[in-house]
Amino acid sequence: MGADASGDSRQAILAAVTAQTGIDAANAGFWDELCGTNLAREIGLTDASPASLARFDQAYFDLYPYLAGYLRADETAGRRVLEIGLGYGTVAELLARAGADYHGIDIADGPVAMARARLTRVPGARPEQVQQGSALELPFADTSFDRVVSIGCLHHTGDLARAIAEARRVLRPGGELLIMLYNRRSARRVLLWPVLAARHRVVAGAPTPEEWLRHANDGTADGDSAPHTDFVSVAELRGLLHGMRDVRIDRRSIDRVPLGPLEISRARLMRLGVDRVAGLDLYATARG
Amino acid sequence: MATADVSQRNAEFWDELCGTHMARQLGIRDASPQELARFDAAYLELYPYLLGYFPREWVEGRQTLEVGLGYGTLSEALARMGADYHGMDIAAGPVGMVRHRLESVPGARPEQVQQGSVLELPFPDASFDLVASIGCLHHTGDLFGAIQEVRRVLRPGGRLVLMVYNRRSLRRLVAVPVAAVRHRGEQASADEEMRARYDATSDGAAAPHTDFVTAAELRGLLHGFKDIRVERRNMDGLPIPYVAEHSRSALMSLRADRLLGLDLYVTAQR
Repeated sequence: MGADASGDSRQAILAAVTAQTGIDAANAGFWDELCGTNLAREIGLTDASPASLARFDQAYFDLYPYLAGYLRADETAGRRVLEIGLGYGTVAELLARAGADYHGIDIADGPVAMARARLTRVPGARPEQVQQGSALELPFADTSFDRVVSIGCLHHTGDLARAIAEARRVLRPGGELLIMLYNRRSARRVLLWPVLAARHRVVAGAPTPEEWLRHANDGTADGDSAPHTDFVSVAELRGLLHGMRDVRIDRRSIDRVPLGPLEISRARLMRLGVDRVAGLDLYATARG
Repeated sequence: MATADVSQRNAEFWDELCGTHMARQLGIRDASPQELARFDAAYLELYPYLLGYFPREWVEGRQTLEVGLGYGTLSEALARMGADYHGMDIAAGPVGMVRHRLESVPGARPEQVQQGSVLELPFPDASFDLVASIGCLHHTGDLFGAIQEVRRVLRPGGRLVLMVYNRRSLRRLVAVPVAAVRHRGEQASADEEMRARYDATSDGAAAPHTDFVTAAELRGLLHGFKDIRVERRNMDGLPIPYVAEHSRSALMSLRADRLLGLDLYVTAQR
């Protein structure tokens, strides 16, 4: 048993624990710069005043016009809602303003502070219910939430299966899960992979396809990338949600096609429904 | 049905050893070593690939847990290969059988076979080098939870060998629509008929719960494992008297089961 494990296996266990601790620490550092900072820079945001944040939120929902439809904030009044992975806090504020009994958790300080600051200005909201912590060990009892929401976070934890198991654990029977994870079969990955692989071979110092794609999804301006990123297929995600009811998975969001004068805009591609076939993100909804 | 109810009903259903039907066909009279050897020979002839999923270096001297024991053929084989064998089943019958078998294996420890649920394994994290579960976890009523538990008790680098039913088998492709028509869209009774086609007691009762998964779903369930390999195995013969058995081995030698087989065999490393 564990106690009389051989030296080899003890070392393997230690290595695994150390690796997870390393990812956790790296995530706490990396995500301290709010996810959405690139967008904030693009729209020229200089402070965190209510007016500036409102401008950010508007840009955010313009960029992801389908997001509100998944969040269905108007149905969350009085419900216990947990959000995992907070970023710039757009979702947090939306849910809290809709009257949800909002709880938030993030591995990094920055997003926690931002969501708390937003909630202090929402009448009836409880900023103290936003806390720093790990999705892999949620500090909540089994079946304690009516909804669990996590947009673009769990694939960064380094242990996606465990993160989903934790989200499922704290969801009450019949409760609703909404998660967004990156699509393994997106047009970006499928079309660029061969190009990136070839470049990595030929050009000295060129990143591997995996590195490049990780940076494309979650990169900071100074070239840093998210410490860990998993990509899953629709069928794999179905497996991870096995046993849940009413599982629905949609593909959403897409890159523009940068062909100079023949460029096809992101909005155009989305109007044509191209993202529904080969989109970057998988939105899954399911009931516990 | 709530998971606790499924467990309760599983404890009753699986008390009749999985394999009893075959034992009856073979005219197995008792649990003497000779009769069990006769059963095992027939079993391994039916599933000739089974032991191939257990290379000696994964077994010999390894902390091994088997979940779902049935007639105990694999249990005895693993113990004889030198595994430090632990067995677990929700029902008393298989536990009794495997303990009985291990008594005649030198060095084996029958007391390490116990009754209990895979959904709450009574072992600390990272306890085992090998976990084997052939045709069991899809019956628990919580396949996701069962796999999480198995993952928990495997040490990093440990091996998993798993068999669960293939949702995309030839049998299901044909029989599911037929059952739907025959039961006129009564989903519950059509499902029961399918469950009974896979697992039934000698009086015809169907297993309380059965999940069927695709190979891709299974990869999702095992997300985070390394070296995941999924293979399709096993096949029905043609439903024609006299040729059924021959057609099964003919189809399998043509490797038709590798495409549309009944069972998904997975090996993976934690």
